[in-house]
This record gives sequence, C-alpha cells and structure tokens, in this order.
Amino acid sequence: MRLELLGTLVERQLRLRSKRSVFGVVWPLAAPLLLLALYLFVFTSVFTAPVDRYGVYLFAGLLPWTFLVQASHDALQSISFEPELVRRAPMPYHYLPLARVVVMAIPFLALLVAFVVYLAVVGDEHLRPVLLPMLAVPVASTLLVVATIAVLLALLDVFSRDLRYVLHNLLTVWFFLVPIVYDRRMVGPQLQAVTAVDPMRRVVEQYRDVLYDGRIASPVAHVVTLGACAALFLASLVLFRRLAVDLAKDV
Amino acid sequence: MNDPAVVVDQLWEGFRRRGRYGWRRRGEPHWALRDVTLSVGRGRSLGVVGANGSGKTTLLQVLAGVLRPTRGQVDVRGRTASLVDLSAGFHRDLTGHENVLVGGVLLGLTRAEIRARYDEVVDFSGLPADALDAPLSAYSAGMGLRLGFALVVHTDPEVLLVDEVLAVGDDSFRARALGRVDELRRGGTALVLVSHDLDLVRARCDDVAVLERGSLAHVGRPDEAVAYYRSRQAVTDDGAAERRVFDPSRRAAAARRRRGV
Repeated sequence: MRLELLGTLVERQLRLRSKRSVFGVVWPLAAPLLLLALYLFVFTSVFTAPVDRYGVYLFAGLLPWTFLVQASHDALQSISFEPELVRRAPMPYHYLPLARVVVMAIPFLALLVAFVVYLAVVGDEHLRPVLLPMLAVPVASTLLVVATIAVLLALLDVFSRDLRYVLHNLLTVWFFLVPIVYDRRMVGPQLQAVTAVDPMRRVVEQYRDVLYDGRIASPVAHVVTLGACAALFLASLVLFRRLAVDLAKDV
Repeated sequence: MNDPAVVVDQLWEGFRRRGRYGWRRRGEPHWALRDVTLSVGRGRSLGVVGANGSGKTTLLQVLAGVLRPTRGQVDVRGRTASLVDLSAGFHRDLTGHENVLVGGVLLGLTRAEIRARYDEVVDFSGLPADALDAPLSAYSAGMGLRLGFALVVHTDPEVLLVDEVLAVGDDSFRARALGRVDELRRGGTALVLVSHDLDLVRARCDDVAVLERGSLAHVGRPDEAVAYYRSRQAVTDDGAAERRVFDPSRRAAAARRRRGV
C-alpha cells in the first residue's frame, strides 16, 4: 500500500513533467551530455587536462553528479509547492521528495547503461565485463545520498526560503570540491583530507574504478561507503519524522 | 450512537508566531482552538459554525490527522475522508481522470479499488465524459469541486469531514450530494460539516457546535445553537468596528510588553 502510494506519486510526477512540455521527460538526459561537451571542449581544446581518456574520466563523475543536482533542485520545493497535498490527508510526506528522486533516477540509470554500451562498442580496453555487476554498489550509494539530500532539502525549504537562493551556489562549490573535472591528486593533501568524508567523492571514485580504471583497488571501501550512505539516509528519515510535524501549518 | 466515531477531548491547537525571517518564535502561540471537547457518534452529524477565523477549518484539519493536537486528545476511528479546501488536493495541470486516480490513493484506496469505482465517481460528479480528459485548470470551481466531492464520498469513509463545499455546486448536484451523505450516514458514517449556511446546518445536522475565537461557545440542538450563534453575531458585529480601529499607541504598548519594558 505504501509502495503503491510512492508509485502513484512517481507516476503523477512523470505525468506533470510531460504536461505542456515537448521533452519534459527527456530534458534531464541532455544536461550531463551538455556538461560533458562543454568540459571536453575546455579541457582538451583550450587547456589540456593531464588525465588520460579525459572524456571517460569526466563522464563517470558527471553522471552521478548531474543526477544529484537535478534531484536536489527538483526535490527542494516538492513539499512547499504542494500545500494542497499536504493539507489533503495525512501521509508520509517524505514520499514527495523521494518520488522526485525516483523520477530523476530514470535518466541517470538510462545514461549509465548507455555509457557502458558506448564503452563496449568503441572497445575500451579498460572495460572489464566481470566488474560491471560491481557498479550496483556505487549506484545504490548514489541513490541513498541523493535521497538523503532530497529529503532534507524539501524539509528545510518548508521552514526557510533561503536555500532557494543559495542551493545552486552551494552545489557548484561542492562540484569543484568532489572533484569531477580534475583528479583529486592534483591538489594538496589538506584539501584531500577535507573531502575524505564526502560521500559523493567516494561514489565518483567508485564509478571511475569500474568504468575508467577497470580495477577495484579496495572492494571493501565500496561496501563501507554503501553502509555509510544507508546510515545517512536512515538518519535523514529519523530527522524528518521528528521535524515534519504539522507541516500543514508551514507550507 | 453510543459508540462515538470522533472523540475530541480538551483539544488545544496552537500556531507559533513567526519572527521577521519566518522563524517560529518561542512563547505563547496563537491558539486557534482552545479547550474544545466534543464527540460525534456513528451515523450522526455535527455541524460547526462560527465566524471567519474562529477555528473551524483548524478543527477539521486536526480531525483529518493533518495537524497534531498541541494539547489534549483526538480519537478518530475508522477511515477518514475530508474535503477541506476547494482544490480538493487536485493538481491543476493534471486531467480530471489523473487527479481521481492520484486522489483516491491519497485517500487510502488501492489503485484497483479506484479503477473499479471510477465510472461511479464520474457518473456521480455529473461531468461530461470529455471533461475528464481536460486539465483541472480548464474546470470551473464548481466542476472541480463536484469531482472532488464525488471521489470523497466513494471512498467508504467512516468519518466524513466537509468544509463549506456544498455551497459551490448547483442545486441538482447539491441535492444529489446531500442524498449521498444521508446514504453514508445510514451506513454508519459520521459527518462533520462546517458551513456558513445556517439553514443547511440546521436542516442536516443532529448537533451543532458554535466556535468563537477557538473556544466552543455552545453545543446543542441545531435550532438552539443556530439561534445562539445569530444572537452572538449581532453582538460581535456591533463591537467589531470599534475593536478593529487601528490604534498606534496600543501597538507600541504591546511591543513594549514583548520586550519586557
């Protein structure tokens, strides 16, 4: 029954995205490809990135990252823009941001599959089919991190509108800290230490393990990250339950 | 009748006042409901009347489970369906058909149950079939409401909460809606009806509660309660003009009190 509610909200969101929009459901596919083209141009034609096969390296990071950005922006107002739903009937309100995450996960996963197929077709020598099932671990971690952020953002936006003005900037800073466009070994150890606890950095590195390096140095690290992401998600749900009381008064 | 479907015991519902940046301030909240105690038996109906801002809608929201009682106990037994605002929880960009499916799930039906009842809901609403494929934004207020009401009364509610919505439908729909409500009540559904239509309340409710600034001023037989409310209205209308006069010195005094000066 609860799953049915989430499924219905996902369907509702998909239908809403396709209203009065020719490519409402398809646009999210374009964003990472656009960024890929942009950074490839800057770092192969203008500057030269000291990273081999830069396109593959870049896209392995851009994929989960654009999913995070799109789902965050979409989830931010998922509760505060639905006062009718909130006042309608009691329901698990965190399903509203989670439905947005599910909807945004569709283009993410589709692009990931397309990326693997592309690597196979061009015969990328680092692509090792035996490792591909291991992608499930960073994918699961990504879903959990994004869901955590979506739930917290949606809740915060009910109480304060400030995030609407700064979310974009915060995500940009995070984007360059992760890092997506350069290799973290290109910066000093202090900055690396700061980002050591960043789950997105871990996740991006794990996609690169499988899709770029073709070897997983530490499978245990992948699983530990997954566990940490699951713990973060559970913590966000606990926090949501504690704070999302009488939301009908605030939306 | 002896087995109440709704029990409200010493309910207080407070809204925190907000500071300049929207953060909720500490201190005494604004009490939308103060010490309200009432009950509604199965198959019975309670009318709730009161001026704007007297707490009627807040009471329905607490009964619907959307708001948690700040103090006191509220016990609503059984499936609850509410039609608390005119939008009925519908999204203006979705079609009538899509809204019924989503709304039904939100009201606790399974998708299979909604599909099974869909034709019945549409028949009851009296909307032309092609309207169901149009977005809600193309509906008149009355049309959207008819669909919302049709859906709500087809969810087998044991407790039905209705806020001022019967005022929007035309006469034939109103007659059909009231007939359906009677039918539900014979099946044991408890009804809480908020309305400014005192004739409707008097004709349709077993008991009537009068809210005054969040407090229960009177509960009793419809005739008495409506007469009481009318007499109070005459009094407060006289006083209202005087009270609402803007008085800067009172505001300044209130601000000093808040600062503790």
